[in-house]
Amino acid sequence: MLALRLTTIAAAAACALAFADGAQARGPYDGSWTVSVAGRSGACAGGNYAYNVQIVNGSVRYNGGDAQISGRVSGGGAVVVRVVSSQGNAVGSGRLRGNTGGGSFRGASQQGACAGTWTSQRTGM
Amino acid sequence: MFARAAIVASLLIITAAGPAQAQACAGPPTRACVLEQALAAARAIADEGARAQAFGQIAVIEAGAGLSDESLRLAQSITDELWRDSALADIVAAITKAGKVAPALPAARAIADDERRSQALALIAAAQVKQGDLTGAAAVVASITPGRARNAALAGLAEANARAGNVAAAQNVAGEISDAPARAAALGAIAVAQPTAANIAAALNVAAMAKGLPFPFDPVVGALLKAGNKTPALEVAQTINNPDLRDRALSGFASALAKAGEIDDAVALARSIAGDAARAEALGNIATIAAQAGKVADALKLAQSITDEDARTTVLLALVEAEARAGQTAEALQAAQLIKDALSRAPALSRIAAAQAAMGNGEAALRLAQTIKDEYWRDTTRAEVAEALAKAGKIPEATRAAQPIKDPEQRGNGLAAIAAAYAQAGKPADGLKIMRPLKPSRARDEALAAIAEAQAKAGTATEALAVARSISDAGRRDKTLASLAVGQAAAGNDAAATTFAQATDDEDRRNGALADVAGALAKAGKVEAALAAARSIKDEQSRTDAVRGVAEALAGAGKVGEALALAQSIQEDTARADALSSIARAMPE
Repeated sequence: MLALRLTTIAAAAACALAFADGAQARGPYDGSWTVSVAGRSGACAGGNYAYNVQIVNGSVRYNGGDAQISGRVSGGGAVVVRVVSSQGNAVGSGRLRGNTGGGSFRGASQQGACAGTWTSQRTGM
Repeated sequence: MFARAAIVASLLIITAAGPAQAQACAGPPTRACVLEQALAAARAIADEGARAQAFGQIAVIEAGAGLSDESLRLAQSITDELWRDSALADIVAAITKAGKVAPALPAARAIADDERRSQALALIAAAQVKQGDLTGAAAVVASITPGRARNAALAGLAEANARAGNVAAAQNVAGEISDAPARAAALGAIAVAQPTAANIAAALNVAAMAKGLPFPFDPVVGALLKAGNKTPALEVAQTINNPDLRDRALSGFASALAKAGEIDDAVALARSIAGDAARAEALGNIATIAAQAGKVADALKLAQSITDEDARTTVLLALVEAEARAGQTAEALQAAQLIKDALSRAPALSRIAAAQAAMGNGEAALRLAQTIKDEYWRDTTRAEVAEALAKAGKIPEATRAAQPIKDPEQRGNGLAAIAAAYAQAGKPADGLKIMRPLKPSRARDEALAAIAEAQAKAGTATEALAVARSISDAGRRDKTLASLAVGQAAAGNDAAATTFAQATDDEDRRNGALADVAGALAKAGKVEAALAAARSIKDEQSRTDAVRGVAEALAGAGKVGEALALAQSIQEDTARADALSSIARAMPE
């Protein structure tokens, strides 16, 4: 479950960042986003989850408190995110496509490796 | 002697009039005698539900103590069906956990509720399977009502038969399972025991109906390789009609082959996957497995062969993360340099720099951080390097890493880590000096908590209290105060412990802290102070619980007589029975 949580957080953060113009204050993608994460292989296979993530001034804000998240998006929409906690780690990347985003994530913890995909939708400003 | 005198003195305060008591234990109290007293207290409970609950609790303790007959009799004497079933189910769990199947059966069969009875019988069957009694388990499983518990028990039985080489018996049992996940588990075990194309196909088809495709890829591939013929598995996966499931099955087999060292075959199989995303994921899985096996060059080559740029980036980032975590920073750098986009490469370099710092190579970490062009990632890296160096006790280097950080939040994170390091090094005043200009944040609060802990350990409780109180977030502040309180109590510093606990803002947390302090003081031998802490709790229920906790702590420390005296002083019947039960449970064997 931990592997799943870490990796899905990574996916959520990656997706949220896909909508964030990180280089500018109050970018057009600031606000609330729902991220749908699908675990496909490893410790999270078959899992489908949704997370709410805030984007503030182009930075992702995740208030779960169980991990540190850092990430950025390029002007062209390429996204990378890194999640680190004391119990595992995960990375995610993806690409902005209009008002939708998608990409992949990978993580590792004591429960084993995990990989999957994410998609996202904006829910509020 | 002093402790006993303290208890007696306390009883005078706690009890206006002593409750009805069972006859005192003759000689040193035994568990049986304490249970008798608990039972007497339970019988005095007026409320039927509470009485039933107390009886159930005592019955479970009796079962755990090996008094199976007494336990069953007591449970069956409970008139309320719900509580009786609950007690019987708990008894079954306690007895089977101790590996005693025979006495658990009558308790399970006495359960009136169909579902609870089924669960209890399934638990017994699982214990029998564990003990190798497959015939006995089959008989018990046959008596379980069809449903989830029966399916789980059947799956366990089928798996055990398959492992024992009784494939025909396993197949018969698996045929009785009515839900997909349990049947998939059973058929998977059969496929491992006898990896024929037919068995693998049967298991895969059922696994495809369950969430997550629960199929034992690794053991099946291991069995195929042992048998010298892996072709059937590959052919079977290709025949799955659903394209997504087919891709996932092929990916599962490919990973299993890679784990078994058959990298070339794994890659060939992964490349046969039709879906682009699934193929990239499978290749990424193999690359990760190869890297874990030390085949870094193979892993990087494979990662580079992934055509989709985003998928390739994710795999390379994962490889960097794994290598950095393993301390292989040179290999991590190789992987990072393969990420073409500078912004996507930045978090990889950041991770490597943090790893270098954690390994004590601060200079290399700072040089690497300096090469990152993007300011956000450069600041993030410097903050992480500062944190790693601070944790390694290299405070001057950590300070040098944190100084150039422009982003206030990242700078705060770095400085907070340095402040915490000062506290760990016994220099809390230096840590506080750094903390002063920082804005409220999680990192600042955590550093303040570390400073307060260090001050408390150093015996400067007043300063520690002031620092803990300056934590901005109420939840984190209360958590720190409670932690400090328990730490002081464990060290026998009752006055400081109570002061910290009383400083907790939230009433529930304060009650909890005082109860924990009471328990810790009792364990530390400060019985009078423990009782004083318990008595200071305002909420009646919490206060009673705390007194019970003190009694339990005394019993756990072998001071059963004092614990009994305290428990018997509790006036409310339910709480008294509860306390006596807790003592019986906590008594040393």
